[in-house]
Amino acid sequence: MTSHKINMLLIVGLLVVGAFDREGLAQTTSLPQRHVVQIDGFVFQPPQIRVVPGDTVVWVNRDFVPHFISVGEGKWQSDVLEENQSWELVVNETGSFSYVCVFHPKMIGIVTIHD
Amino acid sequence: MNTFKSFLYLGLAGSIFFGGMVATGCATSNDHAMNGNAMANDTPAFNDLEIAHIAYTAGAIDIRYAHLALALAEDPEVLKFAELMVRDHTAVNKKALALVKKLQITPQDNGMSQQLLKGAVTIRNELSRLHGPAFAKRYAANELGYHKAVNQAVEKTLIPTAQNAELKALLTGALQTFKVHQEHAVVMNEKLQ
Repeated sequence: MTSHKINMLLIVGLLVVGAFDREGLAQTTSLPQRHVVQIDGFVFQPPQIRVVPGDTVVWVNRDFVPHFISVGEGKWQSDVLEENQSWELVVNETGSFSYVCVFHPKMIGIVTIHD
Repeated sequence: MNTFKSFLYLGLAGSIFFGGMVATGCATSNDHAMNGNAMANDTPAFNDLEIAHIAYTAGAIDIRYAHLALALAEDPEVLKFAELMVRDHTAVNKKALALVKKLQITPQDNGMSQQLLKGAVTIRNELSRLHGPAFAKRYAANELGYHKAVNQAVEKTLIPTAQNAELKALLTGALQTFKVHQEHAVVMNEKLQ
């Protein structure tokens, strides 16, 4: 076997080992997820979500009219969301937080952030 | 109540649906006058252009009531509701204008839109003479009555009569919004009692 072939085999071997390492990492450490909540017909869908710290929750307004989300009694607030606009919130702490549309207070949802 | 009467009563915005709230003889005389018209036009057939005009006019009227409230009201609940009416009805009417532009149509003025506008003048004149809690209560009662009447008309007549699918979809979405307003108006009235 020539030295060139040996070098190629070593490179391929290293790449394979590296791939397994990444796979193993993915199995032990979950990557942050995006959770989409649709606002449609004056309801949040789904009305309750469970996420982990580091995840992103995205609210998307599908109604004609503007909505304005307040999570945890004002702890986090969106801008006014016009039709088809969205708001992203990266959650970094645990707890269960209810949220409402400030404009239409009968619209209620819950986001639970757990370890 | 037949459909045409229902529309005519929109102009009086709740005074008729809530007899206890009728405060003026003007409303009663209008009622009699319009009943006469109703008998003469018992089964009106609106085309899509007229439906679009009626729906837009109904929203515009409520926006004007809201601006009056924002100028005259002091009650926080009333002010919040009025802001909501301006915001939501403006959004719905903006959507309606976009559809009109897309379809390249011109909404058609009609007797019903005229009756709505005429009735709204009566209500605005009445509201503009009131202050403080009296204004708040009358505005709140009118909003509840108006939304009940509009919702009934949209649901029972405008949506079933509309031919264009996009217009029908717009009206359906608008009705969902107006029903939320009606529920909100119920709460506002309860708080003002």
